Amino acid sequence: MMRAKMLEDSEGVRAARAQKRRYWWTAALSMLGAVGVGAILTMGTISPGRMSPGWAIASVVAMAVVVVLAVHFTNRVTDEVEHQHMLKANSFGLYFYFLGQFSWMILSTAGLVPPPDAWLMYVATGIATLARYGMLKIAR
Amino acid sequence: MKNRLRVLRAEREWSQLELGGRLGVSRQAVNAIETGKHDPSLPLAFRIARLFQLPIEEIFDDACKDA
Repeated sequence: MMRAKMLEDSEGVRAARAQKRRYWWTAALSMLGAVGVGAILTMGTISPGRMSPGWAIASVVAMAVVVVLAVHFTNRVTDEVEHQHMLKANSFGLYFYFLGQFSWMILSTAGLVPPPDAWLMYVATGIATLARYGMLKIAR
Repeated sequence: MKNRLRVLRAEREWSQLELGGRLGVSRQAVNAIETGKHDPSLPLAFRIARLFQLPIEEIFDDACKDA
């Protein structure tokens, strides 16, 4: 018990806990930013599928700021193993997108499938990226 | 790349969390290095060497040195 307490209070464990706290704070603030951008988008909607130009520009600027800040602070609080996993997953997502988009486009040119759906590709790429990231986490 | 990190950590009776905290990396990163799933970057290898006060080549085994 005494030994466990000693280990718990040691320099390295304290530093590790502080690192983890910074990581979760960054994740929480990023989520808050995403919710904020979502709120701006919702507030600016005049009618379904319609948005005023001012709100549209404000949404794009807010989204860019949130993404840049989230990426910057995430990079500061993650270590090199995590960076490598994110890089591998993002590369996988990029290849998935290019291959999927061009294959779909070529097949639709020949009339074999309907024209490419941008949203479907976007969502599928996100799922593929997350799946690859999850696989890397499980394999670790 | 093989390494002696687990042995050196055990000699000091440090947990992976403890070592990770001292190196500024996660417990999972320490585990990945110990099991050979991740080769540390040069800056991290130097931090490990400084922490254990040993030359890098006494911690990491360069399997290709004779090639």
